Order: sequence, then C-alpha cells, then structure tokens
Amino acid sequence: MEITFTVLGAFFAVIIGVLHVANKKSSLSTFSNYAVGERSFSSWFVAMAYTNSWWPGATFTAFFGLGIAAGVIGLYALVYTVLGVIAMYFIARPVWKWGKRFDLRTQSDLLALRYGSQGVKTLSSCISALALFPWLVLGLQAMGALVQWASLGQLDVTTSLLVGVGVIAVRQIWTVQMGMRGLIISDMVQGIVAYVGSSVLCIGLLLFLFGGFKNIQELPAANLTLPGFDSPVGGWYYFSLVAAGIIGSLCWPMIFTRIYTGGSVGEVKKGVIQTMIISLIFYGLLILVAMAAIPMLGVAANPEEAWFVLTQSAGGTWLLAAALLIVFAATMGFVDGVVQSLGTQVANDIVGVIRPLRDKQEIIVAKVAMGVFVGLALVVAYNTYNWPNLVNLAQISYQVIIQLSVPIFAGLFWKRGNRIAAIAGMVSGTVIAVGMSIPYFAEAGTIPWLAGISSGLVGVAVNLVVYVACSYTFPSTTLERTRVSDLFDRAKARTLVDVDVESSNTPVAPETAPSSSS
Amino acid sequence: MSAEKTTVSPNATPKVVVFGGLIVVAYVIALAPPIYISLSAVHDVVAGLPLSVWYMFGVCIFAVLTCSALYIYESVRKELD
Repeated sequence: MEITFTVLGAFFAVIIGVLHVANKKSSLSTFSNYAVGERSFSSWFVAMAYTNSWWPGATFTAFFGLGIAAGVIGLYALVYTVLGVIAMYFIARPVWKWGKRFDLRTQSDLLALRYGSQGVKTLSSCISALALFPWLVLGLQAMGALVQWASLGQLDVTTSLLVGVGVIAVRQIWTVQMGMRGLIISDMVQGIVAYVGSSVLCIGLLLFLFGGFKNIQELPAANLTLPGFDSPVGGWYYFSLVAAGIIGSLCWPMIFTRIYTGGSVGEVKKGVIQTMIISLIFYGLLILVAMAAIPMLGVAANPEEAWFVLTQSAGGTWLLAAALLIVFAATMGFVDGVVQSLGTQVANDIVGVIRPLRDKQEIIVAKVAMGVFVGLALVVAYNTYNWPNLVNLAQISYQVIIQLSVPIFAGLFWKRGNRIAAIAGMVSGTVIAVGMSIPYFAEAGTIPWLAGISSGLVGVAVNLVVYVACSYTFPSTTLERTRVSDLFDRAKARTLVDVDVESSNTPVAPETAPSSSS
Repeated sequence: MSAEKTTVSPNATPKVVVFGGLIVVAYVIALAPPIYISLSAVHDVVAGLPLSVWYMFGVCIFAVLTCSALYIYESVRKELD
C-alpha cells in the first residue's frame, strides 16, 4: 500500500509542479486565452490533449475488460477512433480559420457563427453539457475504484471514493485557475505516462509474460470473430458501434475545441496524424495483451479489474503501482478536459448569451460553473457508486450527443443549411434518440429488432432528413446566403499575409461574429 | 483593416478524387457488414496473428497511411497554411 500510494503521490506532485511553473508564464487577460490557450500549441500538444480527452481511465478497465470478455471486437474502439479523427483533418481548415478570425472559443460558437443564431448556440451547448455530466460522474467514480486498488483492498468503498474524488477536486484548483493552457500542458505529462507508459508495459507483458502471440493464435473462433447476422446482437451491431463512434468523435466539445488550440491549420492536421499513431500503438498493444490474457482464468473471472489483476500477478506490487499510475494519469486528463469544457460552455454559450459578459466576468462565471459541476458530480458519484445503470446512462448520452453531428458537418460543407434546419434537426434527432433509448435502457440504446442499430443512429438519420427538408422548405434570405458564402470563401482561401502587415507587428483585430438573425 | 491577399487552392479536384476515394475505401472496408463479417471469420495465422486481428489493424493502418500521404502532399504543395 505504501508503494502504490507513494508512486501516485509522487506523480501528482510532479503534475502540480509543472502547473505551477506554467501558471507563472501564462497570461489570462482575455477569455480567449483562458478558453483556448492562446491558439498557440504545436501538433504534439494538440495530439496528446486529444488523446488524453479521448481515452479515459475506463480504457484500462471497461475496454480492456471487453477485450478479455469478447476478444477481437475489443478493437472496435481503435477503428472508430482512427476513422473518426480523420474528420478533424478535413474540418481543420474552416474551423481553425473561422476560430481565429471570429474569436471562437467553443463548438457552439462555431454553430452560432455558421447559422447566425444564438438559439443554435445555446441548444447545442445544453445538449452537450447534459451528455457530458454522466461521464464526469463516471470519471470520479473511476478514481474511487483506483484508490481502492491502490490500498490493496484495505480501504472500504466509501473511503476510497472520498479519497479519489478528493484528489481530483484538489487537481481542479489548477484547472479552474489556468483554463485550457494548464489543461494542455498537464495533458502532455499525463499522456506520456498513460499512453507511452502503457505501451512499454504491454510490450513487456507480451514478451515476458505471454511469450508473444501464442495465446492469441490458440483462441477459440468466438473470440476472433465479429458478430454476424446469426448472432444474438445482430449483424449491424458492430456497424452501429463503429459508426456511432466515428460520427460522435468530434461532437464532444472537449475534443472539438482541440482544433482551436493549435498554432495553425498545419499544426492541427499534423496533430491528427500523431493522434492516430499514438492510438494505434497504445490501444492496439493493450487489446493484444487483453486477448493474450483470455486463457488465464483468474483474470477472465472479473474482466473489469483484469488490468490490475494481471499486472499484480505478473510483477507484484511495483508493477501494480505502474498500472495504477497509468490509469490515474488517463483519468485525471479526462476529468480535467470535461470540467474545463463544461465551465467554458456555461460561461460562453449559456450565461454569455442571456447576458453579454466582459472577459473577466466570463472567466469568473466559468470558474464558478466548474466548481459547481465538480461539486454536483461528487454528490452524484457518491450516491450512485453501486448503481450499475450509470454506465448505460453514459452510453445513452453518446446517442444524444451524436445529434450535434448533423449541424456541425452539414453546416461546414453545405451552404444551404440554415438555423431552422439546425434547430429542427437537433430537436427531432434528440427526441428520437432519447425516446427509443428508454425502452432499451438495459441494452444502452441498442435496438434488437433493428439488428443491433442504435437509437442514436436512428436519431441522426431523422435529424439529417429534417435538416435537408427544412433547408429546402425554409430557404435563407439573400442577405444570409451572402454571409454564409463569404464564410465559405474565407475558409477556402489560402491567406498570404502582406509583408507590410507582418513587419508592422500589429495584430489584426478579430471581427466579431455576425449578429443573430433569429 | 488587414491587408490580405487571398488565393483559392488550385487543382483541388485530383486531390479530392484520389484521397477522398481512398478514405471512402477505408470507411467501406470498416463498415460494410458483408466485408467485416466475412474477413473476421478468417483465422489463419499470418505474421503471428490471426487474419481477423490483422483485418482490424489493417483498416486503421490504411487510414493512417492515407492521411499521412495527404499531409505530405499538402505540405509539399504548401497548402497547409
């Protein structure tokens, strides 16, 4: 117990030290600096921040457990991650350029600009905030489970949870204080420990514990085959998992805003490729270890805890401490990303729309909102710690948040889409997704009579049909069409900065987003 | 006001056709039920791993290579901004 807590404590101290140093150098004079880190980060920071927000600590418990329980299907998360992040490559140019030009800070800011509507902004932000909250609760609960493992079973559930959430709460002092800049800098340190560390650990396990891929070669066909049409879950089940993941990848606000944090379009695009490579290596190795561990009955008996059981049995307390450290780093990065995103959205997209705020006021509102969300999540985490359906609720939130994909992607590539279409599409898609999820709550929204298609995908289909129909039925005014055309031209244009402007060293004042036409 | 010159990226169509086509191929291989069901049912061992495992990795590696090639292409043509 001393070893595990010493390792975790030392790492926590390193993170706090890094944040202290970074805090002295940071400038938080404007809300933009606070919310998007001055749009100044290189590709590696963009990639690691994306990875840290995308792969939470649950990767090493739930997803590793899935690899052990079901085999090759555990790699589905890698497929949807790699194919999903490609979308970031293609939207990098319009999103980053509009972001820089119009001082956009959130995903909903972009929708407000594209559709010229504050209603779209607030609606999309409310949907994403509601979808994020269950994941914040799960993140805090994961910390509790981690502390219990670190105590080698000596602490009870309640104490473990209180210690775990206490650690995360202390960490939030710096997230609240420093905003995005602190988040991205700490993501780099946490990401190296979590993903580089786990890759090294997995290579070691494959070489020295399993002697290569021998166990995987001898697995039964059921562990090596994806579900077909004759399976209980249906032939569209795998499609549904991967498609929802791809569509949803850029709907999460803490993922989307990574585009704004890059120093240029090129840095964002390079960051996309680095994200793909990091995910391919670390997650690929992780699931290979899970599959190699399938024959070990002791591990397979409790898949969710398999990562800890496996490492402890392979290398004793020190290796368990390394495994805990990896999960700790991944969990902290994820929770920080969610908290920062929630606070920024409330200040920028909800309160800021109701009552326009100055920069300092926005920062204060964001900090208060972050504190409120963490406090609320602590209470819910404590009271629902043994409620198994929370995971289902979090998965259903995925079905809801993918409804943002239609206004985001259609809006970026199709000029005709307008605010009526965006609002009508999002509302109808969300109603369908929630309505169809309720009867299939236990299946996390997967619908058996549709051969495994999820409620969220049905909602997206309806959302898209409504969006297209409304775009044609309620065409935009000539003025609005001209404004949107101008936006698209700006995104396509390759800007060559005039020598005089560059040498004058005078920053170009960002334009304000066009006022609402609603 | 800023003094900016703008030019629209020339010859965008071949790039869209070639790289867009390759990315569509990646999505089809990953998402078409007849493809993933049949390929994941092949368990012959190649380079230490069953083919069904290589199928999953193959989709991802193909996507990474396509995106990397696109980045290099845009970088060489100075289209990255």
